[in-house]
Amino acid sequence: MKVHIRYYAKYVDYTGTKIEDMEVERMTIAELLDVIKLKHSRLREDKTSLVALNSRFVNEGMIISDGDTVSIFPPVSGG
Amino acid sequence: MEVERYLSQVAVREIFPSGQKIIESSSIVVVGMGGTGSAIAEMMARMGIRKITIVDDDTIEVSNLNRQALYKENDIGLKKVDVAKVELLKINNDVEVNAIDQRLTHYNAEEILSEGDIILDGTDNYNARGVMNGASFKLKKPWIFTAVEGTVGYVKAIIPGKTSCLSCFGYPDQGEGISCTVQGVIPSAVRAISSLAVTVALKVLMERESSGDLVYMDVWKPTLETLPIPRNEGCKVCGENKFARG
Repeated sequence: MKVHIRYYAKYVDYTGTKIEDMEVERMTIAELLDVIKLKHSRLREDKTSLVALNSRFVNEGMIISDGDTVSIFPPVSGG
Repeated sequence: MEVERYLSQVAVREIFPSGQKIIESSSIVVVGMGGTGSAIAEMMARMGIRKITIVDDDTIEVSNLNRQALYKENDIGLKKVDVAKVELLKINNDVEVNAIDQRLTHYNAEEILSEGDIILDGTDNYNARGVMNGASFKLKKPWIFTAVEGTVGYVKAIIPGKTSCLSCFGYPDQGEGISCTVQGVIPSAVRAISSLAVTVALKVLMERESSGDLVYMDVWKPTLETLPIPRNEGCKVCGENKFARG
């Protein structure tokens, strides 16, 4: 199945793209994040990333579905 | 109420005299008096908030001057809270300013944060936000999370018992994070996030904010997105089932 991945803030630089489609099998958001980090190793610089499914933050144990949009944000800390 | 002083904001339908009355009877705690904290405190003082407690143990450095409100060249080396208090009172002498020269910790958080009707986050690290998140939940005090870096930032209202908290969506609650000086930040992003935080805080005080959505803003693109964050029943801080996880 195909999912749409959207990258935000510095992750656009880390991945070289704002959005990409990925063909993946049935898996959780956490597992998808692992797959994405294998492809884009700089994302591993942050121990935690914030992940939204279809523009809504949800538990990373949720299963993704065909056509879902997964948005990944860095854990911005400055102030 | 000084009618003339606040006329322009009272004329706004979202404020009106009823909202101004709430502003002038409310107290806030601003934790961290860096870029966001100092701008938040300045705006709140100008709007006529009754009392501001400011918390920070840092001194002013030259690298702060490009973005941190209230501080000037001849303040370098002085304590942020001391300078901020003087400047805030120059802006509005009707405001009560309580300056606390301390870093927020698990040991002092409840005493300090209980000073305000609402807490505003001007910190730059995960540790302090983790402390604020836990203490505000215990005190049942709302707080406004802010974070900014580069050209982007976040704002979220956290209202115990109503909205999700910081731990509900996996934001780190430990560690120093990366400071603005290291990561880089554009001053306009700091001011934009501060402005949004003040607006959200006013809405909470006026009981017109209950969503707890995360607002993501990029001032360079520019873009603004609002993303819902549902409460997490298994959240270790506010979850209904936090004790059932074993």
